[in-house]
Amino acid sequence: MTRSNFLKALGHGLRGIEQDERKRLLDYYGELFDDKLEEGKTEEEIIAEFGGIDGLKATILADYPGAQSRRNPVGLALSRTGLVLLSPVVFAVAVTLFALVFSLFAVSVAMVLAGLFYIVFSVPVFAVSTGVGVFQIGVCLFCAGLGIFLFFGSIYFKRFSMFAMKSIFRLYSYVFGKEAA
Amino acid sequence: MDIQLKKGLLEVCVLKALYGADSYGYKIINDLSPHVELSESTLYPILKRLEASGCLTSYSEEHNGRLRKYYRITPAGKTRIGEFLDDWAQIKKIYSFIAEVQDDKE
Repeated sequence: MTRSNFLKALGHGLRGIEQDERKRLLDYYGELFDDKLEEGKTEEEIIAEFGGIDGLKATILADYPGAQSRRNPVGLALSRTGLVLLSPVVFAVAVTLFALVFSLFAVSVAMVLAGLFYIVFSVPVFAVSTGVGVFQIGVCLFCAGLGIFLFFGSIYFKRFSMFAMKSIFRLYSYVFGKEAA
Repeated sequence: MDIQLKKGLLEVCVLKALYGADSYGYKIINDLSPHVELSESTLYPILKRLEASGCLTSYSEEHNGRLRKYYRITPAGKTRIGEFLDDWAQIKKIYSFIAEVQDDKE
């Protein structure tokens, strides 16, 4: 995790603290971070020394008892109700994305295999007609190439789907998690 | 060590770290580490309390293209150190009184 992501995450975790004080805390830890970087420590080592984001956040919040429960109870209840009602839709989207990813991979592999397989069967066609043989091999190579292109496209689509599902999971964790209590 | 006792001692230790020269957060922690355990998260509220009580002041100065916050002990901070040292005779008396427990055990 980089310095800026660390401070962003820490700032988010301390949002129950009054703004000016939160800024002073972030300036303090940002300065410590820079001093340790100058000493030659890595960003991971520094964050570990702080006790990780969660550890540091808990330690700081222990000195600000009022800050821990600064959530709008009505807004929280509405968010939770909304997410519960949307759960069947979310589940359907998740299943659809999974099916799409699986199908895309399956189709791409099938196209590559079919293309390569039929190249072998195109060879005897040359004995009958060179033109037809060349055309058939061209089609097979096009099919295999399209399959490879689709395979890489499937990988990107899979990454997008994973990102989407992780974001939805984080939203559920945030609304229903300990922090929200 | 007892938390309340440690809290009071740490404040005086931080003032001592500033006694000779102005200093900054990370340096204060490093200077005190051979003598007392002090984490970054413990130092912040100590500095805040000492500044609120007038025992130190703070200012920012440029360092390697960024701003670094420095702390300076005030006369009130030096007085606080003096009071701690004056209290030491009293603390020694109380320690000797409590240490009689060990003599009784023997």
